[in-house]
Amino acid sequence: MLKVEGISKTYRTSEVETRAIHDISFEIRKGEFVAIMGPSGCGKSTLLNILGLLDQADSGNYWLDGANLTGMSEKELTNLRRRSMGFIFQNFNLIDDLTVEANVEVGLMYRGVGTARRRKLVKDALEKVGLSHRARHLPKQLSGGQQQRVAVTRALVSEPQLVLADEPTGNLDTANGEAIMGLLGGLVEAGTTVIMVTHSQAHAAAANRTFYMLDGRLVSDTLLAA
Amino acid sequence: MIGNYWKSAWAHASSNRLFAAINTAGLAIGVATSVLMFVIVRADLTHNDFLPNYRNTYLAVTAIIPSGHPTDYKLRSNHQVAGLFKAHFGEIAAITRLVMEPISVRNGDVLTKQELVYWTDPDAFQILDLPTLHGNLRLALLRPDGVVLTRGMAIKYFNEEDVVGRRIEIGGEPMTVNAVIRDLPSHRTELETGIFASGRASHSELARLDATPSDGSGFTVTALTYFQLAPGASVASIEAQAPAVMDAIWKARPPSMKVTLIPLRLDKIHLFEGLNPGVRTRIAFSVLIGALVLFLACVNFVNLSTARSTRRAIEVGVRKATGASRAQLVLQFVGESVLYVVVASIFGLALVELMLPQVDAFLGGGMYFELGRDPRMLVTLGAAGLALGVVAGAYPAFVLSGFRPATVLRGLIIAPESASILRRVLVVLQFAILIGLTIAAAVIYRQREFAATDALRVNTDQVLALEAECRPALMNELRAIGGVRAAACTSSDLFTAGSFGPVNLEGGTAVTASIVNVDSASFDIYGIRPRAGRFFSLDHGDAAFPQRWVINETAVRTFGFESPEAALGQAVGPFGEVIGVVEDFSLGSLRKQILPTVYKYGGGRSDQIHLKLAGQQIPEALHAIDVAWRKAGADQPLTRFFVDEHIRNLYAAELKQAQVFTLFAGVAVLLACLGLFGLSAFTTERRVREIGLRKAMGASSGEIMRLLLWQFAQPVLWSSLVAWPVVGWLMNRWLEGFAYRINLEMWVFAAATAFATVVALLTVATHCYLVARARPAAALKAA
Repeated sequence: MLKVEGISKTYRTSEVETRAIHDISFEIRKGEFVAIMGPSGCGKSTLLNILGLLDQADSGNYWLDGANLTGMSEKELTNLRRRSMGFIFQNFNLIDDLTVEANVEVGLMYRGVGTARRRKLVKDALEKVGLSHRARHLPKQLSGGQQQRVAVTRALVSEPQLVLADEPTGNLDTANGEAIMGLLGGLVEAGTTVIMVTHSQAHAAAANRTFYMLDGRLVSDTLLAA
Repeated sequence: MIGNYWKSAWAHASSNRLFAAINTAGLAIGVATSVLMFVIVRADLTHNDFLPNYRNTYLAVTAIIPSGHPTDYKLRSNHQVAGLFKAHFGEIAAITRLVMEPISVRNGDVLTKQELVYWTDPDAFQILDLPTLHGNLRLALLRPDGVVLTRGMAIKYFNEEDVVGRRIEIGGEPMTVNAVIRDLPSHRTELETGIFASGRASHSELARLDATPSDGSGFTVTALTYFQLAPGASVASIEAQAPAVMDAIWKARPPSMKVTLIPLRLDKIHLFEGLNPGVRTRIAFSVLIGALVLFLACVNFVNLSTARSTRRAIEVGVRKATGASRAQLVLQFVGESVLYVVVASIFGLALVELMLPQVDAFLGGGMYFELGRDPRMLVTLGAAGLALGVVAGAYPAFVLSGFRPATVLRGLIIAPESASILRRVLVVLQFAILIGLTIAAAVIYRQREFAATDALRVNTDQVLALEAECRPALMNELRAIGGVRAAACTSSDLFTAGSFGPVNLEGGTAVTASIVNVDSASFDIYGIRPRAGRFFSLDHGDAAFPQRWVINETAVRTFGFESPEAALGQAVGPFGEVIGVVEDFSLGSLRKQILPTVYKYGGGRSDQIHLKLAGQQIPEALHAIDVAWRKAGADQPLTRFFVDEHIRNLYAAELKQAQVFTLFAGVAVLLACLGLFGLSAFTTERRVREIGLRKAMGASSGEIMRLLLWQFAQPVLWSSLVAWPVVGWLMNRWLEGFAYRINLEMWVFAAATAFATVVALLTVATHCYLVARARPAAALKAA
């Protein structure tokens, strides 16, 4: 499904140059659940942002569904992101001023889904995660676990091929963390590719493949038996 | 999609009600103020444009040019001008005259003793084609008893509008109403009254003037003379030959004085500085403050919008991550800010509708605001609103949306330094405008007070002027009244400096001096003492020696004397001898220089009586004066006015300008406060963590409060550096319009800055106090 080859990324300020990731290559097949682990600052999130087209690598190549994304325009990347990807963030990143249902609806809107269908999809998705009674609430009126469930719903409602989750359980207690992992597991069972950055060994164990990163390099790639 | 944007805009506004309210209210006030200013200025610029042929219609304005002195312009011209123009200039297609007279008008019980009536040439309405409601306007004044009324006058005298064919008494003679016209827009025409009577009537002032032969020794200016040009004709040739026409009227014109006629197109009359001194400055100032207030409102709007937009970085990141294109984000944010502008404009225009009647009444009428009648204004408003919306929405729309989502979501893009600098510059500009307007309002008020009191150098308290000829019987009656301390016969030239005469000096040169007729009590009534020599007195028998002159200090210098004392006893001109010198003083407008003036005892024109009243029992004294007037056999009602009120009225335009400035300075204060309030809320909110840390490190609430207040006070102090030189220069230019003026004093500038600082500190104090008082743990947690 996706393949990267020799990608690197360096952050530069006027005084400091920080190499975030260096010469990383791997391939992920459709339906795989990949956990990326490593100490803080090792480049996990940077790698995830590049895979999710939220950021661009300085060098290397990136193929998605056989298409080389290197050199694609911002517009093409936006279309690709809109069509194929869903995101889950550690700090939820819900839009404060919008209600739960409006937050979930955002991605569908950009995909050009009609109003009636959008409403139905949002309703169904919220029901699925047990939040339909919170549809009209603002994010600040929800608990952390509920907010992350909204964020997951927003990512999965448009049925993307690839879900990128950046420490989705990092800000949650154990019970809420388990619930989010259950949702991700369901996605994988449905054939969605999931790439998740995590610090939790236990949650990484739910994935069928684990990347371990250190100082911007991919130091191990472990495939677990299904 | 649009629905979703609308939902998002509404959601954003609802969860940020304070900012939404400040943004909308500030902009609405700005829009209302600038539209009102536009309407006021438009009324100034569109005088007489309700007359269909105003572009080809001219008024002959008289210009009196004494050598070495400023030209004096009169709206009216001599009644003979029309006949001479018609006879000499083939370029003139039509010409007509209107002569105003205060006269009694009666219909049954409705009687006005001194209604202003225009005695009008029969063809007047072929030139002044006023909108007719009833009757045939063009034929209305052909018969000697013909009258035309405005709708207002018809209702005043008949209590109904269609009064064609009804009889009305004018000057005691019955006349017939032949047409009713629409009311004249009061602020947009020089016509002062709504009754036009046929000049062919034998008792009309126009007929009287035409029947009185002129010996050419002098001339009066009595008629509004309007004319229209023949197709293709130019007004320049008429203007060039106008002096010859005036020479034919004033055959005895002294060489030191020139008189000519200036044709002014109808829409240019109001803008002519000679007749309306300072009008262009006033208009320019109005435009300037309208623009400044709008600028203030826009600055607030842009400032608050961009400041708040940094809080929406996450939203931009999420939208981009979920597939929003840059164009979609631009559309959303610009659309949102345009929506604010639209809502604010609707409120602003509603405010205009509410306030216009009051403003119109206050400033003299003639203003209208109908968007339907003014498509240009609608388009201008629309375009300006769109531009403002784009500018205000530009930061989130064009800047935030341009970053990579990962950067925005990591919180690395909060507020670029350039945006913060721009915001600070705009706040400084905003307070500079506030300080500038405050200084301007104070200077205008002080100049007006100076002009109406100190600058006169005379005591006008309790002095009453009567428009009356000085007859001995009347004077005796008046002097006998208990409440009258003194009475003097004086010519109205004391107010207008309207009579001139040549004075021949040694060596054969001639200069022009203002001539004023006074008597032995005239100076005493105003508390004026001789600078040298003496004033007129009955004891010296001055009444029998018209060659005895009192001159003012300017005349002493102009006539070439070394000092007031040196002038005493000197022979001046063909007949004069100086017996006294009076300090320069003026009862006219201080926009004009005090002229060299010769005061003569009695004789000639003594058309006013000035009375010094005792301080008490003024109403009784006024009543007794009216009784004395009737007892002396007068058939016309008495016109009288207090001199100090009359002088204040000379500065009515300045007063209104000062009041308008005060109003706009008030609006500026309000807008600046709104803006600063919003910004302080935003800034303190963003600094909660920093303040928590400072307190954790040991800072007290007082120290935090001082820190925050000082930071908000700084822009105000910087703004003084911008405002002081600019407003100092502008107000100096304005004061140059007065021959006698106040000095610009530093304390006014300092006071304006102090005022702005206090206003700024009071505005931000609440936020600063709340944040400074918060417990550090709560502040750090909240952050």
